[in-house]
Amino acid sequence: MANLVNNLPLELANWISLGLFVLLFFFVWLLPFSRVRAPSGKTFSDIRIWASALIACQLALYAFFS
Amino acid sequence: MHLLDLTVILGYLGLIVLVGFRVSRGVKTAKDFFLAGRSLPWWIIGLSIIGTNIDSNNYVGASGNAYATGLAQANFEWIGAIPAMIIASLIFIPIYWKAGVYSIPEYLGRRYSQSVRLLVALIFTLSGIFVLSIAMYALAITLETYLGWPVVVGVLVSGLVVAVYSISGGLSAVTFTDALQVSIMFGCAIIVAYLGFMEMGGISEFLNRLEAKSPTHLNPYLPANHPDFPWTGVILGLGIVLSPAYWIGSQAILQRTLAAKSQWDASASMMFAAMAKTFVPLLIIFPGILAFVMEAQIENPDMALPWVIKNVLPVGVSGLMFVAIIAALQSTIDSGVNTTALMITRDIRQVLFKQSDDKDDLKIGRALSLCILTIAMIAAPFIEHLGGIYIAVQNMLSLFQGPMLALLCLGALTKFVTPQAGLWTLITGVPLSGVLLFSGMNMLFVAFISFCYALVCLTTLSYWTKPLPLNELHQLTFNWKET
Repeated sequence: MANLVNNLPLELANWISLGLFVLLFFFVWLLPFSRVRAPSGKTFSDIRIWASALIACQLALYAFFS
Repeated sequence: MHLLDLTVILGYLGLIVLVGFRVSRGVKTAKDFFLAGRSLPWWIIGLSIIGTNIDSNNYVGASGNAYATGLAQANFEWIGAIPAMIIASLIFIPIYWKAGVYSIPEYLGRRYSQSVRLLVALIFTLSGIFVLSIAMYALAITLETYLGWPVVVGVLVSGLVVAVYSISGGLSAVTFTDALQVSIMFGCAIIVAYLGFMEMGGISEFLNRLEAKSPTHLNPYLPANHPDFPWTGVILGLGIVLSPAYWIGSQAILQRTLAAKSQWDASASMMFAAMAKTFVPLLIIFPGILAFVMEAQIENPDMALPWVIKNVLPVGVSGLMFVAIIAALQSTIDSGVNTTALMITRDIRQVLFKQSDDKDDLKIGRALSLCILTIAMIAAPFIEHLGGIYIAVQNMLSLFQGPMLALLCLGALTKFVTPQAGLWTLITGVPLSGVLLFSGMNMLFVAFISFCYALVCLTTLSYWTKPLPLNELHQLTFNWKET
């Protein structure tokens, strides 16, 4: 088992990271608007938008360096 | 050291004391002292979170590791932090906020039992004092290296500076000074990156040289058979257990979010911190890689950052970079003092002595802050005599992370886990991690296995024991449809 884990290909790591961030993106948008809105109610106070920008940035980083 | 560098350093110390002292006015209750009167905006808290998170190990150690292994070190800031910060922001911080607690042990006390609260507070307090001593020692060593001050003098000066604002101003002074310190750190990082790229002839030339010298330095992961940071361990241990345990359960980090003026500010502060965290590698990884590309002649990788300061930065900017390192350490110390004082004042004292009075809490909190800082100052010079022991002790403390994360996740996301199951999972999970670690298993895999064990133990024991009444759980657990 340990031998199998030690021999897993390096490329898989980047794909798993990208996959985790994509899953996180969908999870973020499953949350209802009522949980993330600011008292002001402005569009950009929806922190799901902040999270999406952050995830996009991470996807770009892992894609660039893979 | 050049006179201009010295002026920059003294100017910084004066500015921190001034800002901290000015913010200190208006602390009248324990809530003001420990939670800044629940009045802080998201951006101040976000910067303070980053200040608390970055310590000497990040600055010197991460630069050294980046010199030796390359970009893989950045995983501690990316996959090893960002997903956990997003989940903390959207799921856990609203729950803590709704529960109206001061601390994570208090939340666990309400969700499970007062025994769990006491146990967690004791572990957090002991580790907090230990980490403070290490940070104090690291700060003194930095002052000795650059200014030639003896360790005892460095400990005294840095302790006094922190004491001036953190004891009088509490969390409010700590967060404002942290925000200033982080701004200085990022300012320095931009200057170092600019000068580094200019020295190399531009970003593309820098990347070309790095790729020609060592292509693996540009890979964000290391092979699965790497002895220290195999990618499998980084994703399973760091990404799934250690990082969420830190961002969801660290009192020093989450105390700031509980001081926000609204629940939205609390969640937004963590999201803003995550955005800043994306760029932290520029601060702590880039200098190491720059030293590697510039073929620095250094004896060990940890000398990468001092080499960059000495050989790349002009006079004045090197003083500012030195200030950034002091700032990283100071923000760790001031946060640790306030956090540890809070847990002794409220979590340990309230459970053991059944005492809770706001005016007493404020007096005791201030007195304890002074005591904790004094203990850390006395212990700091002895840290160097511990040798490798303190690394072992830090490993021991991190054994707690797997069971702790399981308690927080199942406690906050489900209603079926019981107080008895929580206590026994904690009591059995930590020794299990110890056995695995001493058997020679990599720490990252120990964290993952102890987390899985704690999930199974907590679930199984909960079927045979009695849960809390549903009306008590309503305020303490996640509700998907709640507005």
